[in-house]
Amino acid sequence: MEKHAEDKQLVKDFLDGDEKAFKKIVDKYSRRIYWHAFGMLNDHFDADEVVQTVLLVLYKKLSTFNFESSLYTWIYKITATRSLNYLRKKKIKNFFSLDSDNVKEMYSKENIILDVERSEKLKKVGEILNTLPTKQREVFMMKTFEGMTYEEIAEATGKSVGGLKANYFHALKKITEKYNEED
Amino acid sequence: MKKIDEEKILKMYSGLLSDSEAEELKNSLDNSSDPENFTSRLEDELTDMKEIYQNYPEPNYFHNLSNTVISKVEESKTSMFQPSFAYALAIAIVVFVASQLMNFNTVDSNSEYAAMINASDLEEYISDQLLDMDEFAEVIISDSNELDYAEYLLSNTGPTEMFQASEENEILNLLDESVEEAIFNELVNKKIL
Repeated sequence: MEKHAEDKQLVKDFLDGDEKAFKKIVDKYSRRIYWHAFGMLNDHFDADEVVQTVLLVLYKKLSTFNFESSLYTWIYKITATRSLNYLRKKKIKNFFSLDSDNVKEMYSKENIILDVERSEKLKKVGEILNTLPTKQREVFMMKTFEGMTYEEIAEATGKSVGGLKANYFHALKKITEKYNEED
Repeated sequence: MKKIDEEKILKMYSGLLSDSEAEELKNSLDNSSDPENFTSRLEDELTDMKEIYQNYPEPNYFHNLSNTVISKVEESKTSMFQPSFAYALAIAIVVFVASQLMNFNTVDSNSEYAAMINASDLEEYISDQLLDMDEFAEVIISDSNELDYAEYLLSNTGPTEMFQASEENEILNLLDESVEEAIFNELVNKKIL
């Protein structure tokens, strides 16, 4: 409840003209938005585009948010929709593109990665996460990376806690098996 | 040596064990030799992943995001008055009117609503979709095949949902879904995708 109150205050401050409040909202949620988009799109630049779109939507539309759900639930829905639309758009774009075969490689060299080791780790994690069905990947990322509780994930996604636990279990099992295979 | 029950450990991490079962398992792990170091390996893997999550992308990336977005908003306000926007908007309106005229004899519920749309509604819609504006202009200008796509986009923007929905945040989703879904479905129907 306290968390909702804090978000409520931030939104109110922003709507009263305090742009620092927007920055706080961005600081609080941008990592989650990024990783959700990254999980769906598997590319830094694509994820970055979705992140900026989502934040721009927030900036423009926060005045319409009425706190019937938590702020993150709203952000999550926008992120999920935008990521999905981006995927579709990309598919259409690739179709129209003259060199449609030349689709940007996942984890391309252009990606902003500080060092080779981190790049390798990211690639490995990405490859493993990509073997998971979307639902499992989503729950795993929200729980492991974002530190969300099952209750919070259930609120954001509209899924049952039991179903989420089962999805996480299967995700963890597959990830462990995959790691073991590679060792 | 006691073989540990990996399945149980995974269940514990998944929250599928009750508190008492998890406690019991923890105790038995403390007292066992855990021959394959399964728990620590699992924890290492998760820590590894978390570390990537916390360190990627570059630290400045998140730091600069809000400024980037705020300057984009400012940019979008000024770009409303730039020739490229005006040009694209003018073309968009022409294409839209043409598509409406072409569809005049085949009035269905969509075009009925579409006929209600006027230039200022369209302008409002396009300005709402500013992020897609460059792409939109590019699509209209670049290729005649894509002109069909642009026409389709314009004649199926779902003014129904756009101008009649009561919830603004609902509109956001509907806008995207109606436009994108319509294009996507049409391409699928035409067996292009």
